[in-house]
Amino acid sequence: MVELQNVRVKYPTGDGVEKISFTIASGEFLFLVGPSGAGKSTVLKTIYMDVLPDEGHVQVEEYNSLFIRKKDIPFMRRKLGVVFQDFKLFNDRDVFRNVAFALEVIGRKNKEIKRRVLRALADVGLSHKARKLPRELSGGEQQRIAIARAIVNEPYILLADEPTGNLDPLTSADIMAVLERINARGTSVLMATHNYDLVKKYHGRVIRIENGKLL
Amino acid sequence: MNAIYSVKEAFAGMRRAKTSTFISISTMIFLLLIIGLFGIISLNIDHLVDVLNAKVDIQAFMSGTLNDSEIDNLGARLVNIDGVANVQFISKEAAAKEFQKEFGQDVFDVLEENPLPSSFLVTLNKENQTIADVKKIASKIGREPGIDEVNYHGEALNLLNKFSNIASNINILLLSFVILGSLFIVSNTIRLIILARKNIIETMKLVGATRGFIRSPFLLEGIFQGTTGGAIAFLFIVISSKLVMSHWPGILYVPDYYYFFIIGAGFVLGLTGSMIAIKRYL
Repeated sequence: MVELQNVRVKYPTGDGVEKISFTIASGEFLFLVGPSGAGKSTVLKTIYMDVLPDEGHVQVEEYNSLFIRKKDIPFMRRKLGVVFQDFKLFNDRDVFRNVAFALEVIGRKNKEIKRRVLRALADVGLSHKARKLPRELSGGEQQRIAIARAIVNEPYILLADEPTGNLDPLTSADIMAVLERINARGTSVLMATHNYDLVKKYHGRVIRIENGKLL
Repeated sequence: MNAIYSVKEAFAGMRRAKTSTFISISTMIFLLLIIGLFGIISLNIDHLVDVLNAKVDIQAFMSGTLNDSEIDNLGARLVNIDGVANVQFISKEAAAKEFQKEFGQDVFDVLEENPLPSSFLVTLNKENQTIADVKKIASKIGREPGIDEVNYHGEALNLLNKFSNIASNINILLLSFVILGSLFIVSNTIRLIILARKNIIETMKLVGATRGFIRSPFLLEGIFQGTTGGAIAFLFIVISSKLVMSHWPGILYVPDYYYFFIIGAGFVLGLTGSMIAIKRYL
């Protein structure tokens, strides 16, 4: 379970979020919708605890933002997958190694890495591009690789921050299909987007945020 | 797995930042060479002081009124003073012979009587052959009844000790300069490598890599740069000092442990430099 309880984050610039409370149940697909600068990314950051709330708390499985020790944050993040608008792939290694990276850095064994990476690439429909470099792929394909990397460790929840922000409507639909497939297998998905039209086409609970507050 | 990954990443990082890694290692070599050479100079001055100290004897002149048994008693008392290794009696006659040897003239040719007093030549234990102990023991001897005057080469010793102090002060200054310089250059290189890999580091954090895991390649890079710099400086110093010693035997004193000190210094500086960068930029 992921739960945000009365979360407030204030940045020195004066921006931030306040009174954010919601829960994401196991296997749920949730849209966090709002215009640019509304605080969507900040909410996501509090969940993967890149930013700790000034008030309130965030609960991710057994980890609570009030009590978590710095050294436990990496272990909490292994229960999450995160994808961004700009993919954050590495062009110095091929697709397979990009996805494997998420397992290599947490010390998984080679055999397990191979098995899981091939599984994740199959899930996003890109098994045949395993030896390509990210820059040789289209934007949609790059985002699917980023999703494969986010789910390769079989996270409890996938956090997607504007995953279709850089993509055309057709490619966006592809990405949404991938996210729905992942969700159908039991992984919770929280997708932040500014695209209301896109959200209308899909099933899932919608929460709206504006000026740092939920509507 | 983790160790192999860290080593691979460390070398990949240095390959990506070839120029700054090269500059960093070259600077380390240069700085360690400076400290190495001045260290040798300082070591040699210290060694010279030690060698000369070892030759320092105290000469204690007696008043002319002592009879044989009083001289024996005095000699026995001097031997019992802390730090005294040996006491040798030099009679008036022996002193006259020594005078003749030194000046080439019989003292009786100039004067009708022998004015040279009899004396004790006092040798000190090795561990007491320092300027402080020589002074202390000489003053104790001077206070013994029957001793008129005490002589030792205090001025020369003082001068040497002064040189030795100046040399070690210069060394401390240089050492501070080298330490600061090396730390700056290594930490700056690691900073550049960290900046060049900002995206990778961010992703590592996101997928749950531990802090130790993220940091270890950078620590290894610092250690590699420092130790490589140290090893090359070590080779330079070994070869040049051996060359000097083979051409002019005995002119240089370099204990073997000193060479390894250079490598050790490189290692420690590299490690500390990378730790500074990691703490500030990671």
